[in-house]
Amino acid sequence: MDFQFIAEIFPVLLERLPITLHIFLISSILSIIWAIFVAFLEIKEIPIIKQFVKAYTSFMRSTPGIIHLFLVYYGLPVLLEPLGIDLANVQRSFYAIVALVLYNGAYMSEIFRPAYLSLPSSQKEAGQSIGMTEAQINIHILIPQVIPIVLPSLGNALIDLLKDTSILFIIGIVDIMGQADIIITNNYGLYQAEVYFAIALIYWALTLLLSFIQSAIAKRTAKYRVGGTS
Amino acid sequence: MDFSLSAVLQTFIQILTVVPNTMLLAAIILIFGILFGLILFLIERLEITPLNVIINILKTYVRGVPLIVHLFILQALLPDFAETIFGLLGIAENPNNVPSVLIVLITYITVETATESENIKSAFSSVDYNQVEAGKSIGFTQSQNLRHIIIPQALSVALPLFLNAYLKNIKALSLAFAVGVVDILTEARFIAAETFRYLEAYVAAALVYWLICGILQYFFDKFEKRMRVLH
Repeated sequence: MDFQFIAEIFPVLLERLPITLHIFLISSILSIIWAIFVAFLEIKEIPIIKQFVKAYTSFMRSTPGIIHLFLVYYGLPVLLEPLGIDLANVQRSFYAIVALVLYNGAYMSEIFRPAYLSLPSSQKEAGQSIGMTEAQINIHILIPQVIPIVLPSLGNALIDLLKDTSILFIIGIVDIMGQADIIITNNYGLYQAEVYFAIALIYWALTLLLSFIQSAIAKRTAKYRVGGTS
Repeated sequence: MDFSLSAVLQTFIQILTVVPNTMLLAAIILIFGILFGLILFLIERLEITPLNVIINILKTYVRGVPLIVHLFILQALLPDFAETIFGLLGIAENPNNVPSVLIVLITYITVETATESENIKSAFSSVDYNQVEAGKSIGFTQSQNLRHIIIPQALSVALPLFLNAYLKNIKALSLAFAVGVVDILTEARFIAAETFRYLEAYVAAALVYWLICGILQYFFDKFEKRMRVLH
């Protein structure tokens, strides 16, 4: 392996890192919001809607992420055409974000729902006994306790989301993976191992950073955990 | 172009022919992953500190890098590796065409090994030490303890994890198209390229995944419930 070449292309790849990070950050925030909404719908157990949500999560969880990328990229324009919405001028990263949010949001909702349901009902009753409203109970009692429970799994889900950004080049997004493709083509396919090893180093660093942040937050929120500070 | 349901149905049936292939590959990856994962777990149990540090660093690398990146790296490296090994064996053959199935198997089994060693570790640590002491108190030897108390309980935790890993493998094999191995998604892409009905092909592929993973998930959930009773 030619390490000098790796050092040479590293800055070229890093130029495109903001695009990967941009898509990752927006999709993370939207996925979490979407997942909380989906979990909320499932917990409420509204007939019909409940079945829809169940079918949605089951579909997302039993099909690979790359399929959703293709389905959104080819399907969304077809689906929205009858409504008079034209997606011809929309950037490709829009499709990427929609696909990532729909896919990872379904996984994350399966983290939030059991965590919320696992809280003992005495917690809710304690709030009721001092005259709190439903919203107050959620904000002050239940949600702070959900956070330390979901944190480890949510951190892993975000790492999975980050790794899922590695397939976006397939619909033509020039992020770090897209850039890698361009470099390899420009060098007649000679340096494939070097280029992707550089990419691997970037993803490795990012996932290590994410798990570091995860454990830092875990330490701070541990005090909310029922029955101790561990 | 109008969305054609009959195209979806046709593609769906065509894709079904490669399902057994995908399921077999996923099973091979799982079995070797468990085997090597167990060996890795046992090596880690020896508590040789420098070795464990290296293993941990390698594990964060294997698990922190996207699968498709691993695939691309190995695709580029494997011909060189093969040449070196062939050279050492004194075979002067130029293995330019390493079968792409081999690239996929090596990549996926490596990643699976890292995952399964963690699964096995968490399964063993889930066994309460009181259980081992209970065994000792009635005069069980170490191997009796292992056979009658530890392994059955660890298995009831590990088996559901293994089954989930199997479903994950089936889905993860969708990336194997990147190096040209035929699985469910690759077949859909072949058909799409012939008919120009991309959306229909991908819908069909999604339905195939939903069908097989849905059915497997149903049985695995049932099995997991029974396992929980045992635990």
